[in-house]
Amino acid sequence: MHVASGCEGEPSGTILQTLSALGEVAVEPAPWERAAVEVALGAALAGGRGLAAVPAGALAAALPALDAASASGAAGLVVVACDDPSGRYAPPADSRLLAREAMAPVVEPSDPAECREAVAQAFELSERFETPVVVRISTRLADSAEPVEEASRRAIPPRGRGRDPAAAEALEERATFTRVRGLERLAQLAAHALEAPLNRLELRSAEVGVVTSGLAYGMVREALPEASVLKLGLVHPVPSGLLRAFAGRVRTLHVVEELEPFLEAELRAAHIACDGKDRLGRTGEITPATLARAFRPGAERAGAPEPVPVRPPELCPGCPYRALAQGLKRLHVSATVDPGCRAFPAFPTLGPVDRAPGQGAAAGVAHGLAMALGQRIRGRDVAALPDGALLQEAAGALALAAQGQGTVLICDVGGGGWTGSGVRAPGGWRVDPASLLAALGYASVRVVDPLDLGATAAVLREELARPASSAVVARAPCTRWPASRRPPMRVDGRRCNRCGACLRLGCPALSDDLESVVVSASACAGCGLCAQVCRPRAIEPCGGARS
Amino acid sequence: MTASPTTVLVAGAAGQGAEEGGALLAAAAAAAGHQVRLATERPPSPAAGSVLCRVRFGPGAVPTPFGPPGEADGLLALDRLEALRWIHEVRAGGFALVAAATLPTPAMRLGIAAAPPPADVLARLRARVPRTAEVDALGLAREIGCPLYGGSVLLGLAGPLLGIPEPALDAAAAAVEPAEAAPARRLALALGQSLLAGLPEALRRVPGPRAA
Repeated sequence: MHVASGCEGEPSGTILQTLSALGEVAVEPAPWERAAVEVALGAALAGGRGLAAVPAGALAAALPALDAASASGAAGLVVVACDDPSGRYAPPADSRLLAREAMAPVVEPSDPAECREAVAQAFELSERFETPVVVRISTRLADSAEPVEEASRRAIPPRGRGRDPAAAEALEERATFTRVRGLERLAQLAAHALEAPLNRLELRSAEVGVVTSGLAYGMVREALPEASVLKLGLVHPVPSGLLRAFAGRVRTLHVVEELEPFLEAELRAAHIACDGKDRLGRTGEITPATLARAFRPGAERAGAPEPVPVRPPELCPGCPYRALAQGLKRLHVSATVDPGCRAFPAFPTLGPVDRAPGQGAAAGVAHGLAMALGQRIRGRDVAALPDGALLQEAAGALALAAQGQGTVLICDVGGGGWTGSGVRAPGGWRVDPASLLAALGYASVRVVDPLDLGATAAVLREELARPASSAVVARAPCTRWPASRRPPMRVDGRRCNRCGACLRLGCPALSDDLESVVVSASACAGCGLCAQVCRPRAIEPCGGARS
Repeated sequence: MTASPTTVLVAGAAGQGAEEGGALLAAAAAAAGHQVRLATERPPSPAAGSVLCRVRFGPGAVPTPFGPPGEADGLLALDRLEALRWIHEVRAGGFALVAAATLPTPAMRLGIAAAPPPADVLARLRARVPRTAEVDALGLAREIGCPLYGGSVLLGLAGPLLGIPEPALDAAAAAVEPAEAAPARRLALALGQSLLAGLPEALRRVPGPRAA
């Protein structure tokens, strides 16, 4: 391939890092998913090969670009999308539905070795049928590993490409033209799917057959070793003829797929008797346990889990989000927050999270809330966003909110990403949040150090009282970056009265050993928040008090 | 009769080195000539939360890293609570090697919950899997300079129980990134191996292959 673009997060960050290390591909991180797909589309329209990688659950944000790619008849464009059926890392959306909306074929590998092959085949499909191709993986597949032999790579010169015939059409005719072209293309792909090596028929028992795809395939093979299996690697367009032929060779047909009943719906629409989600349920991941419960009830050997204290996600020691949460807590505001670092809204003892509507949504939701409540929320209305939201979905809503009287709080971890903690793509873009907010029309824009609790609270108090829109940029680097770490703190056990004020910060580096609070020197990032909330002044940096 | 894959769970909390241990075991199994698959379950935040690596290997095909429920052959846990969390996944004839450490949960740090006494944890683990032993893996790892090598200590101890030869472990130490850590890993593996003589006889017995 020639160009790869993608966003911070997983698995896109790792994909870009890996491609960058090859030194053969122009790799560029993008501030949001739509931009990543558009950049890769540009490479494809130039006659080259472009790959876009989007983080888990984020294909929806790139849908307009995928639509555009489909309408353009892009050849040489592959979009790697990742679904998270568990919902642990992202909303459990099904990329197949989004790709179908964009009339784009979907290739779905089952293991790491197939991932490499799937991308190669996806490029060939894209070039042969002049369409963007989505490669659908899952978070568990992204977190799987196995020895994979390195394949030889060959340089493919950009093909060069003429003008898109649709571009010459007037707007109205172009829509019809591209839709007709898309439907014709899907029909050709459906015919190709009948013979495509990506789809594999494994005939064993004539009694039981399973239609499956993705990571579930390996689990099906192990849970139902006697069953015949139709393993689909090209899942959209659904190869109806293949499904019908397979159904005719087995007495009972099961469908095992993660998230939506995509393949099952196709079978049912063709009046082919099967079961799937009624056995497996529509939520959560397919696991050996769910398969055992569905197909071999009573055979499961695992007993009930032991009751164990939960270990929830936490913010890192030294995280600027912890400091901001403390600042907001002191001010008794009504806070609408973006997820930001994922643990922010998940740990209520940290701060006053009243609403967490979703990534990039806080500014717009808080603005609408203020419009509805008016004076009743004046001076208490805060929308908190990470800096990564500025150029994503939030920019338009921030411009609207600038016309109101609320306060937006931007957590600027300095990397132009959501958290700074994920695998970071090489290179990178950087926008100064303060300049952008001023350009969007905020009457006041202030920059603070969130790790200075007193100063941050004072600035927030002033800005909340302002009878116009205001923005506070809380600037402190993500603590996962080594440069942000300072000497660790220590506790003077003679002064510590175990009041618990520092422990309530929820910092993993602090614990109570029954005589005094103690600091784990290896975990502490030296942010000094604990010292700021310690009334007996028992906590100070190793090596003496900080000036 | 074909032998079914061996399944080992490597459990810990974020920052304890479970991922390092899982990657090392997978590399060692591959160096020993096995087919191998590894799957890692991470918490959404990097600072805390449970981490679990599932490593499956064997001379034949390994269709998936996710083995049948309740049939794992071994558990290497860097934390007592994490051992408890996953012990139900281990078959009764399997084994569990547990680091003598309890990383407090947020509720424990705040003093609103207490950690279960270590003796109780060990009793509950042994009630499920009699071949369970507790070793000071993190203490030994700290002697090397980093608790991240706790997984390597446990693997040094578990290698003979899993039938992984010493040269494969040695090769794995250099195969896992970062390669600069190979000397420390080798030291940790050796420290783990030195604990073998202290294990009860029943635990030192190397199990035969199970029928698929």
